Amino acid sequence: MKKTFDAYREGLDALSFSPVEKSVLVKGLVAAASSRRRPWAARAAAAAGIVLVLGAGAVTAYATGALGAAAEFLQDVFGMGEEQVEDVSRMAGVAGASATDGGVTVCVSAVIGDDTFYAVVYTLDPNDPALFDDVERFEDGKVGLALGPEGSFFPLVSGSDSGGMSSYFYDADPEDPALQLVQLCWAQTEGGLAGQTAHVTLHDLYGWGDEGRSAEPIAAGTWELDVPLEYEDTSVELASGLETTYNGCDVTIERLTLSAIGVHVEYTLSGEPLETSRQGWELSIPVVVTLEDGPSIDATWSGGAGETLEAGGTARMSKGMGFDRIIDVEDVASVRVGDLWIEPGA
Amino acid sequence: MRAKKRAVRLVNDYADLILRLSYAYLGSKADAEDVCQEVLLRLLGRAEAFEGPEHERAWVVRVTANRCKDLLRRRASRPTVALDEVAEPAAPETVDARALPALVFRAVMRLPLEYRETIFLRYYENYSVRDIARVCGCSEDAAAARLSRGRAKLKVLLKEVGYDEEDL
Repeated sequence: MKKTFDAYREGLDALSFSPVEKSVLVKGLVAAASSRRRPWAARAAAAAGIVLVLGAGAVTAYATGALGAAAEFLQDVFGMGEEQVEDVSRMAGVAGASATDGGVTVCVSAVIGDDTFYAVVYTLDPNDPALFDDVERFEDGKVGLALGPEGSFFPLVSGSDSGGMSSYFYDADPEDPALQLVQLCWAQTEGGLAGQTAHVTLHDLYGWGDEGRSAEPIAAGTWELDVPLEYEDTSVELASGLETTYNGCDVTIERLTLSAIGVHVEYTLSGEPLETSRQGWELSIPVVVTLEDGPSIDATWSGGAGETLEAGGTARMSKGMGFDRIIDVEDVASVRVGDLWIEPGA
Repeated sequence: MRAKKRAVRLVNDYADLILRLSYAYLGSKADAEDVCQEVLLRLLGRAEAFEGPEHERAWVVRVTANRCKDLLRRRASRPTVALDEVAEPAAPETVDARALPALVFRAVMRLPLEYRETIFLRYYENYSVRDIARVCGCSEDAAAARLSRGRAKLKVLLKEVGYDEEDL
C-alpha cells in the first residue's frame, strides 16, 4: 500500500496554516506569554504598626481573576507550562492575609500544598517604590534579600510536631516595585495540613550579597500573618501494606502518598540489616518518582524522621520530599520504594 | 524579543504537525486550530529543556494526542468525523491520480479513531510500533493489531470509492 500512503501524506500536507495564519499564531503566543506578568496594582492600606488580617474570606486583595493571579505566582515558582495553570488555579488557595510595618506591606499571594508539603508565595510591596531598587538581582532570577535573624520566621502550623522550610526571594514583575518571598515548607500533623493554619513571623528585611547580610535593614519591621492552608489537596494514596526489602530488612509500606507537589512514605523496618555503618541508614530507602515522559524525581536523600532499628525490633520511619515543580499525578509512571515499583492507578 | 523569536521557531516547526494530528483525531479544522494554540502555548511556557529536537517533537506529538483525547472524552458522545471542508464525491469509475490524495485522506478519516491514530503516527510521522504504543497508551501487540486492521479497513473503504492500489 505504498502508493496509498504516499497519497495519504500528500493529502495531509494540504492541511496547513497559511503564512498569514502562522503570523497571527505567533502574535497570539507572544501576547499570551507576556500577559503572565501583569503589574501588581493592589496595595493594602498603608497603616502604621502591625496589622494582622486573617485570610480565608476576610480580605481579598484581588478582585476577579484572583485564582488566576495565584496560579501565575506558582508558575514563577514551579516553572509549569500554561496547560497546568487552570488545574493549579483550582488547587491553589488565595489566602489574602496581609500585614504592614516599616513601610512594607507583606501579603500572601498564593498557597498550594498537600497534607505534608506546602508552598507559600508572599508579595512585599513597599510604600516607597524605590525601596528595593538597589537589591541585587541574580542570574537565576532570585534577588538578594534576607530576613533578620531575630525571632522565628519558620511557619508554625497548629498541632504540628515537626517541620522544615527553605525559602528565597525573587521578582515576579520587574516593572513594579514589589518583590516576592517563596517559602517551601513541610510539617506533620495529625490528620494532615489542608485546612490548618500556618502562623508566620517575619522580622526585618536586609540586603544579601557576596558579603552576606547588609549591616542595616532595608526595612525594619515585624510582619505576622496567619496563612490558612486552604487549598485543594491533590494527594492520592498509592499503597498501604505492600512489602519490599531494603538493606536486608523487611519493609512494610504503611502509607505512600503522592500529590502534585510532593511524595511522602511511612514504612516499618524489621529484621537484620546487612550494613549499619552509615548513621541514619534507616532513612535512605530509595524513593524515586518517575514521570511518563522519562524524567524522574529522586527523593531518596530527602530526609525524614523515625526510630533506630534495634536488634529484634521494628522501626517506624517517615520520609518525603516537596517537589520543585508541580506535576500532574496522572503523568506519573511509577513510584519506586526500595525494590518495589508502584504504578499509580494499577 | 526572545519570546517572539522562539514563538516563530515553534510555529514554523510544529503548527502544521499539530494541526494535522489534531484533525486526525477531531475531524474539525476549527477544533484542531484550538488544540494547536493550546499545545504551542504550553510548549512556549515549558521551563524544562528537551534533550534534543527528536525529544521535543515526540513531546509535541504526545501532548497533542493527549489533549485531543481529553477533548473527545469530554464530549457527550463520540461524534462521527465531520469532514467539514470537502463534500464526499460520488464514487467515480476510475480514480484520477490528482484526486487520490484527498480520496485517501477522506477514507482514513472515516476509520475508527484508534485506526486512524495509528495510521497517522506510522505513515505520517514514521513512528515504530513501539512508539505508537507509547503514544496510544496500549501494548505493542495492540498497536500492531490496530495498524493491521486499519490498513485492511482502509482497503475496503477505498475499494468502495473505486480505488484499488493493485489496479495501478
